[in-house]
Amino acid sequence: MKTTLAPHFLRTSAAALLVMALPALAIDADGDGLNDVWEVIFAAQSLVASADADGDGATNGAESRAGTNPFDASSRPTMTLAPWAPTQLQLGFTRVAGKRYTLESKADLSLANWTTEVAEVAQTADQTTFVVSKPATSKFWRIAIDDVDSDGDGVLDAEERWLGFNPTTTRTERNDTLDLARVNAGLAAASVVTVATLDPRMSERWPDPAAIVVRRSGGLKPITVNLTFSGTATRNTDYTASIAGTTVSFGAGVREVPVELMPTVDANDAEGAETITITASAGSGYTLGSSTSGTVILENETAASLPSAKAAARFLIQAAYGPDQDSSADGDDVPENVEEVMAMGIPGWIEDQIARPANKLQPWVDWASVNGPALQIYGRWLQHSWWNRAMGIPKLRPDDAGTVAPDPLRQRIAFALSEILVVSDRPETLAVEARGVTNYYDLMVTHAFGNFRDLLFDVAMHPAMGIYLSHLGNQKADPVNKIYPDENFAREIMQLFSIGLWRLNPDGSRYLSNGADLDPAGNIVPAGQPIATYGNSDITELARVFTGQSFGNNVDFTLFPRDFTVPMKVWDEFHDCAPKTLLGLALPARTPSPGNTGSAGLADVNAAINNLFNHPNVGPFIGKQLIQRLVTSNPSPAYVARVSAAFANNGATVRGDMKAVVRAVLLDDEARNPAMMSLPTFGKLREPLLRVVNFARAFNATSPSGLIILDQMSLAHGQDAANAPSVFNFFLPAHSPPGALTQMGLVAPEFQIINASSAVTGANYFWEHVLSDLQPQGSSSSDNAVRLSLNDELAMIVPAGQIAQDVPSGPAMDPDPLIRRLDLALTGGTLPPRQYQIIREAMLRINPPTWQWHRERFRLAVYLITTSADFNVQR
Amino acid sequence: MNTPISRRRFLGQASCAAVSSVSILNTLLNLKLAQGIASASVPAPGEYRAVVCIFLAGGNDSFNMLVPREATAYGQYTAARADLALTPAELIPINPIGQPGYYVHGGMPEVASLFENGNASFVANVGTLIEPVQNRTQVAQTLKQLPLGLYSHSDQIEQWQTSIPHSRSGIGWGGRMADILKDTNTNQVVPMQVSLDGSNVWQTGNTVAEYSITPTGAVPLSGFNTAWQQYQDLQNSMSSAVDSQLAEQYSNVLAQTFNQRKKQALDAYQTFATATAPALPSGVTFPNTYIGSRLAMIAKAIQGRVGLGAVRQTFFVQRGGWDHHDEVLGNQGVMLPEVSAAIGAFHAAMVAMGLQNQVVLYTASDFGRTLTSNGRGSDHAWGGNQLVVGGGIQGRRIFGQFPSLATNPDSGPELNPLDTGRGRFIPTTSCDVFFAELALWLGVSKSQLPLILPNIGNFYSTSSSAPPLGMVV
Repeated sequence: MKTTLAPHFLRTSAAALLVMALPALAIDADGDGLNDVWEVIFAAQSLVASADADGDGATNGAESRAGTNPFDASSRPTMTLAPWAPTQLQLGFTRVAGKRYTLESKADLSLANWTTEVAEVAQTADQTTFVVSKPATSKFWRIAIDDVDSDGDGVLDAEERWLGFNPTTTRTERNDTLDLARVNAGLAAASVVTVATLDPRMSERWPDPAAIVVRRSGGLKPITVNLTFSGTATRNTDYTASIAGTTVSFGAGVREVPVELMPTVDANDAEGAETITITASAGSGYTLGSSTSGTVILENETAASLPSAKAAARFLIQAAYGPDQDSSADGDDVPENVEEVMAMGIPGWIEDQIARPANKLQPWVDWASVNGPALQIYGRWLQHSWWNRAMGIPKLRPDDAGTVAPDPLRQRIAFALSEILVVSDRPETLAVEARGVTNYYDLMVTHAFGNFRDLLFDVAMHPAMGIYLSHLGNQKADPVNKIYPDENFAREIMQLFSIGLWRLNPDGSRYLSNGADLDPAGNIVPAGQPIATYGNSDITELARVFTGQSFGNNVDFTLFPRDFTVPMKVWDEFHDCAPKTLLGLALPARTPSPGNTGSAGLADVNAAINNLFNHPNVGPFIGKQLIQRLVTSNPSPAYVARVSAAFANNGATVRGDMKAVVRAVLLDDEARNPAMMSLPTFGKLREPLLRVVNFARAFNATSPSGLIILDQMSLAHGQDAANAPSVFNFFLPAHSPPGALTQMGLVAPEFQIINASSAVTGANYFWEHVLSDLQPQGSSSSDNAVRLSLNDELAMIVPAGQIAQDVPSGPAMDPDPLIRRLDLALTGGTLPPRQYQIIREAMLRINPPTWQWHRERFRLAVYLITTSADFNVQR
Repeated sequence: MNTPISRRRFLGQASCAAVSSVSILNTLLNLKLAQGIASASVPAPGEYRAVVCIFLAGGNDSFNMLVPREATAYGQYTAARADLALTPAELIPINPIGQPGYYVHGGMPEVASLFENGNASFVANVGTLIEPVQNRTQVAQTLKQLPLGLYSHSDQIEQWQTSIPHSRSGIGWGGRMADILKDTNTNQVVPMQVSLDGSNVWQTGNTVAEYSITPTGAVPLSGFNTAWQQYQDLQNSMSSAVDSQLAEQYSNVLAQTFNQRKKQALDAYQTFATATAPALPSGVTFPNTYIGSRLAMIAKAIQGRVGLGAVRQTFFVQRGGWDHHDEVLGNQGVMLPEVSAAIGAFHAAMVAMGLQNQVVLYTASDFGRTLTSNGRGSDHAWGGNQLVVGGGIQGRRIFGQFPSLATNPDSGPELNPLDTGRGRFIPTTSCDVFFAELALWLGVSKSQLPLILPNIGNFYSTSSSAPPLGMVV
């Protein structure tokens, strides 16, 4: 079959170009027939249309229309033809973003009557092909290149894309000035270059780069800016830079180019801190503005050094509630709780936290249930008490004479445990028992650094759990009346609170049958299959253990009156004292004791708890979930194995020591090594409730009364303490959102409550509450309205004396220092330079006479950080 | 000459390093997709169809929702249920076609009326199964494969939504349907699965997630404008910055997922808000209850189907609070009327829109509950009874096999092989068969059923000319 290669007839190089009228005219202020934007992109201002600067056969005029490089012979409007499949051909060509490419064909080479086959505007610059069927006889193809102006603003799509404008709107970036005016002004204007420091912190063992930014304003043209590196540090010895050489190039329309500086770890532990200064110097196409240099400090850090501010801030996001607001009293810009970690070191800080007395929640509820109504404090006392502890309020109840030291690590561990051993106050019975549910929650606080065995026992004996999973009031079976013990708690204490459904390896992976292993019913499990930890008969047997328990405040086995703060007692008369078999462990018949002595029942409960506690699954099952709550959603098996080893043996042959588990979770190399931060799979979505706490603490949220009356964060964030929708918590440890995470076999539990609704309501919370009362639906009294304390931050926007004004006269201060402060407090200093630019430029658009423009600038900055992926995913 | 043209990009697109492997099922789906749409032949081309699931989370005690009226059966009912039995005065008689009489719970007059008018049916003793199980011996001796985690909330909720009782999965059969059927819709901005109760397994697919709204509709992003507005510096600045943030690419896959999810939320809001803005037809009202307010919003979304580009939709409502180990009679006496009144209003709304034949509503729940009492309520069991409502269904019927309610004594002769103890019944109809009806009706082809319901072949031959149940197809 004869196939004639297409004569590469491109409309741009033929008379047909003129026949096809352009839908919009190129910008050509100098009338030289060459697109002005194309001229600045390729520095082709001196060319004439009819010449061919690179001698590639396409005139400069044709290259201007095609958008190709007039100085590069390999860049020209051209097309290749090659076989593709037995019956198909491929026409290959290079596209310029924003240009329209029309494939036309006809049977002969006469100029008229070409048939249009397909037309498409290139959305990206790329190489592509059209695949066409082989014709029966000869056929000619050509690709016509022309321009479109999709938004009709007088700037062609290709021009807009070259300049970083948006071809689908007449006002890129929702600017008050129309695109055409901005482009014309920007092409005419000279560029003014300045230099600033975004991130002055870097230290040798904390490979988070420092950043200096080179900015230009005024012009849109590409420029190359000359830089000088100076300071006491030596480039490529002490640090490396993200740019080659000593120039930075600004593409057309680009306003900022960051220079990131990465420390080099050296063996010289004796050297002091060094400096790096980058200074812009004169060059062509720009003038220098007022600030032409930026400086960062490279701290020497040895393996024995205490953590840097960023390392400490990152740790506090994992282990506590993130950095607090920096106090202006000490004259530095590092929050005091970050300094605390920097001073003690991370292991020292953990030990200090472990040594602190436990701050329980119930005292606050005890106080509120007497004094609350008179102070217009209603309802969600449990949540109020949780918030008071999360905020580290130094009094457990407002009328306490003394104060307590805050215990954020213990509170974080307690919160994590409360999401594993779940009691929720959603059932009506518990919703009105704030004292009882906080008393239950305080088990987590008490045992956070205790022994898991004691926690499991106390959970089993707590009346709030007894009501929630309905083993309270259970009696031994009564076959005559067809009454059998409730199995709810028996099932969940195994499935969720201790051993899980599947037999596990110490590294958290499922143990697979060797072909001889038996399932709980005694049947052989085929090789390679997982093995259930228990069967339904195990549940039935365990349910018999949890019989005869009821409210411990009573003499008789009765459901009333109820005191939810007294552990349940056992009435052996109603306890099933017959022999039982628990996961293979035989319990003997028991001799009932009188009244609520419960010696038989307690013997059974203790034996059952011990049996579960000693199951090899508990370490990996609980340990992995604690890692997920604090550090990362997808820990390596080795990390889980190290934590479960700590659970199995704290070093002093004690099993279940939570102190050892907490240390293992937080001090593991996988948690601490900053190299993990750049792994694509490391980290976790912050729990929605905890991001609100971080936000509140970063600005020292407080109320005139000093009380923190906050609740119902679930409205916007889908989460409140002890308020899960079910015993399965707000999210499952194995939840995997569809898409890349699922395809990679990864989990991200917290995504289960980030949906198309809460992704919006969560963001809206920050927009609506940065400048107002943090209570979602408003406070019941202005005295209790919790607000951020913003004077220090607002004084970084306008002079302090103007903060109270509604329209301060200014002058406005540069946003960089404020963004830097917010970066450390909210993301641990991990905000990338691009986010700095987005936030800074957004702030600078809000000016007088906008009402409270200084506050709105602040709101924008905080909102844009707290809703960013950088804040929401902790790494 | 008309030359077929396709385009292929061979350079300039960095492949997504995040994608390392795709499940076999997913690959199968993709292979099937090419022919998939053409073979979704049951609905007429372009015909709108929607399935609404009301999930009664916690395990509805459905043997008090549907009660046998025939004397022997009712006697077995009262004997087994003891203090949990309802008297005839607490029940409403219904008269299924070709079967003895039954009752529905006295708090469900709207459902009784829909049933009697041929717009509602029940599926009796339906539950999770891997393969048919005939008797309790097969359960006790594990002679058949049994669902994982029988009687457990989380497992049974998951399996009612995955229909894969032999493994744990976060992918639901509604999501797998959407993987296949979503391209039937002309617009993918708003997913075909709409949830009134957040993220759920049923609507989660391999390639799709549900669109989560509230009873008042989709929620806008505060302060955000989609285009420049004069004198709105703050909104213009904030909105532009948000656009810029959402355009960022993250190498961290969690961060990238977060950004994507937020962007999808903003795109979907615009489309959804516009489509659901019109009021419902005059005269249509809904009870102001948890379920009522949600079904009202679903009615609006169905009304806005053209604007949503929706030819197929699924809707999910989850009403919790059915785990009545305690106070089952009193609680059901309040909660079943809420279900009934809301469903009655919903059907009336569909009639008012002329869509009653194009929408099917069904109930689902973790499991049935023990017939016998624990003294205050009932415990987790297995098979249960579910409701199906719609103008296009075979109404006034009880599909499947309503079991004998005789319960076995602890020792002695076996009275009921289906009773595994305490009136925990082995399901006589598998979830697969129930769901196959709904999937076929929604446009899944018989040959695709195994992709949606991997165990369907254990219960139904997809080459059979007969329908799985005959309920809607």
